[in-house]
Amino acid sequence: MLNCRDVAHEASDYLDQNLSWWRRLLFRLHLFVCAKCRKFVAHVHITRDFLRRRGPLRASDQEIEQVMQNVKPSAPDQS
Amino acid sequence: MTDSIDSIDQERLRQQDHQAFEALVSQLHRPMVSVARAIVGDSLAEEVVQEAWVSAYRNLPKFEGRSSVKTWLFTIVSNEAKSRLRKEKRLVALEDFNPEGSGDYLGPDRFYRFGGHWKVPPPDWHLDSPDQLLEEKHLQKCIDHTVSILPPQQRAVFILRDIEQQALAEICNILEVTESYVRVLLHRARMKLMQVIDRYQETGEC
Repeated sequence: MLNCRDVAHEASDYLDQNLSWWRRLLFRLHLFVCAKCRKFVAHVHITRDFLRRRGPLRASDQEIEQVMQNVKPSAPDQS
Repeated sequence: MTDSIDSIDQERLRQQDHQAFEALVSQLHRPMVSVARAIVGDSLAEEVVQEAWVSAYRNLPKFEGRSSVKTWLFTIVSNEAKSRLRKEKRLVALEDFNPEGSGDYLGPDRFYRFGGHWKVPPPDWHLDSPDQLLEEKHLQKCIDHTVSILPPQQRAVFILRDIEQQALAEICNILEVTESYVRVLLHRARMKLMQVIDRYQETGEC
């Protein structure tokens, strides 16, 4: 049987489906009897989905310009 | 919503079209800096990424599309960083091989020593869906700040997996680490960010 500490440390692996079937079964059994861990895993789930949906941070105009300037010497003449 | 990588025309990229290339830079420059930082550290990362972009631009006509553009670029920056590391004969980012735990978030004070039950249980959240969290502008700033101060390898793994949706096996290749280590780093990064959300839910501040 897993304890709450185990569940907290393996919550990402559970949600990302990286646990073995046996470990997953033990995990689910623990969740069945433990409301605190159910809440914790729900929070990890919300956090993961929230972070994924925020999307990437875009480069600033300055960063883009710097890359384009470095690239230009090797760029073909587009005129 | 702005264009995704998938919407950038690969044929235009192969022809080194500046507009298409700029769109690529806009979306992938910062993730590439994170990858470089995880391998060569802060001081060389920016330079390595600039070299990677030049190399990618030169090689665009040869891009065959056997992997996604993203994976191709992450591999280029990773190779560039590893090659720089060999030249510099330095071992950087070693701090991450003994990474901080999940912060104190899941530290020993959180659980009873015997039995491993919660001593400090998870708090209630009044914002309890991704949609509600996405509406909180101040929280977004707190998250951006926390991502920026994650240890380099944690940050790179978090960005590659949760933001850029790269497969675990790809991340292992890019960063030359094992899959179990990637999973540990990812969980630690998420825990640090979850700690920010916990605090925000409780106080409205970072």
